[in-house]
Amino acid sequence: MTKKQIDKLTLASYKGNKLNIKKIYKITSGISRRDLKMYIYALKNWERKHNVEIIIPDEKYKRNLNLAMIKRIFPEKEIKYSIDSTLTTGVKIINQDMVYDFNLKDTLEDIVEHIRAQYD
Amino acid sequence: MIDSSKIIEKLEKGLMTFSEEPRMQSVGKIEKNTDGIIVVSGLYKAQMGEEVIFEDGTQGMVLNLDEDYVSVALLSGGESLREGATVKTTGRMISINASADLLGRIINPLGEPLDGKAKIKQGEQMPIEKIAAGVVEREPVNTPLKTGIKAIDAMIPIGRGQRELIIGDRGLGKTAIAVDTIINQKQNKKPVICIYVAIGQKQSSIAQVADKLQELGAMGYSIVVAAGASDPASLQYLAPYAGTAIAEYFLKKGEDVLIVYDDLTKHAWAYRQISLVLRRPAGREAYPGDIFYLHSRLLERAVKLNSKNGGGSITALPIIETQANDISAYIPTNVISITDGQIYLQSDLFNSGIRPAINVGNSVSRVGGSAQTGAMKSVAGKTRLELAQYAELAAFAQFGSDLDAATLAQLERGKRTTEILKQPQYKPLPEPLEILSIFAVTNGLLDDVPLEDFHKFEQECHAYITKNYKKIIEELSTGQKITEAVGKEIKEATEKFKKTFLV
Repeated sequence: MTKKQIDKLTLASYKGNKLNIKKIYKITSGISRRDLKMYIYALKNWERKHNVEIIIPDEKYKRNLNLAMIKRIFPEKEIKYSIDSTLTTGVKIINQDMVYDFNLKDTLEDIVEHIRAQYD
Repeated sequence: MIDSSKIIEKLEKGLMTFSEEPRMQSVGKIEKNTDGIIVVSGLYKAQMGEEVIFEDGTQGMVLNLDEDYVSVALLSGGESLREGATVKTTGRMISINASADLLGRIINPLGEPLDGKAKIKQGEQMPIEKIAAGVVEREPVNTPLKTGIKAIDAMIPIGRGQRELIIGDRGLGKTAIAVDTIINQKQNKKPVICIYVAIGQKQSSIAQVADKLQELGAMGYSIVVAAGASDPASLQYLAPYAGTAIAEYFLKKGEDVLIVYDDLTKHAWAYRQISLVLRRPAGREAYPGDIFYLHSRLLERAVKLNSKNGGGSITALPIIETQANDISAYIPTNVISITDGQIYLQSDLFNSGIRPAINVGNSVSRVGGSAQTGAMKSVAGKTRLELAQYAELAAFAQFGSDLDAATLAQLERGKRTTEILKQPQYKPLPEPLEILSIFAVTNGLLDDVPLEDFHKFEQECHAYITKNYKKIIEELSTGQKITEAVGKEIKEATEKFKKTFLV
């Protein structure tokens, strides 16, 4: 199967912006293992393209976020939240392969890395 | 030593800027690892030649940008890397830390010390890939780079900023010529900074060269950049560029630098290996299509800058190993066409005891002649011609024994010229002494010295003239053309010594 055909199958797997389980069953039952791998990869890519992941230190932190602004920055993208307590404070936004660090953990890591590089 | 107040200051600064701007990173995932080439998904903003960092801290370099994937060459082991591990871009092109602290050190192409000594202090980050200096910044080669090897300084002179290839089969003394040239640089008032780049060599060979440089006091102004046979192909590929980046650091400071690439055959092999794993189309001898560009862009960085741009220079001595004296193979012809001349070593000469085994007929220096000193030019002019005539006559003389006196004399002179150009390893000569030897032989002063005593005579004569005729040495050191008076003095001194020697 060509990449274009796989892309078409990926698009066909969605109903609105949600994956349709019936369609997926239908598609996966008829394709080879190699094509299945490519299909899964394409689905993951599609998900990455259409979702933005926001990582926060805890559930309470959600109240501090300006959701309207985030939605304005990433229009037509679904925003998903996850929790990582090691961030301490701040937020991490993952949009496709771009990671925006806006938290204490990464800032401290930056400083440590900088100092290490300067004072070897 | 880390100053604690500075650390706290930086921490405070970091905290203050914490809420100002986010850190942006492009993060990808490892899809597969094939022989040190990692295929990564994501990293849409990666650039060619950009440095990337893997989850475990391993460095990599972006070598291919595809529609969905990026191919990254690992720059170290990366044994703990697995599928799905993250890779981050750094926004930096691959570069090396260069500073004066590198002098006397053995490092790998990433700038990490290999000699077990202290870490190298942060200097300037020099890009490993850089476009060579343009026409406006350059000037013609006009200063000699003395190798201390009579045959080279007399017949194939090298100038600062030149690219002179050393080519020949294995074990003929290619590295020896390069090492002798490095050793000879200590004779300059301000030594030329020497960088020895070892590519794909045995660690023992690298250690041997480094030891020799140390032993002969040449390490103080030298740097060894080593990517041994056991290092990843990507490191071997980077090594000559890293060496050149360091050379450019010193060039910026107006220094003269000599860089030896030992050898570019193995460099081409390493690049072929990387290219095949990257699935780039293979061409002749399975080398990729850009193999010429690989070496031309490297050697183009050898330069003689004009005084407006600091006046520094980078002289390159690339080494190429041939198979069965075949200089018409792919890589040798490529590098011959890129360089400004070649020193061709031949196994027949080596086996017949002519060392350095330089084939004068096939060796040439295209620009070095203009850098030769007047003194050397005036004595060496005839040598090349005489040797060529001798080689031709010697071949014919084998067929018959009835030779006229003139031919016999020419043959005798040729034998003596060949003999005087022999030189032991690690014994480079200062230019005045080289001139003395060549002057003596070309003027027939050694015609009555038995061939078997030639080297003893030469050594002792040098010592005698250095001790008793300092004026001659001083005169020759100026580099000015030999005047009749000086010539007469040399003749007198040699004749005087000969009388004591032949008794």
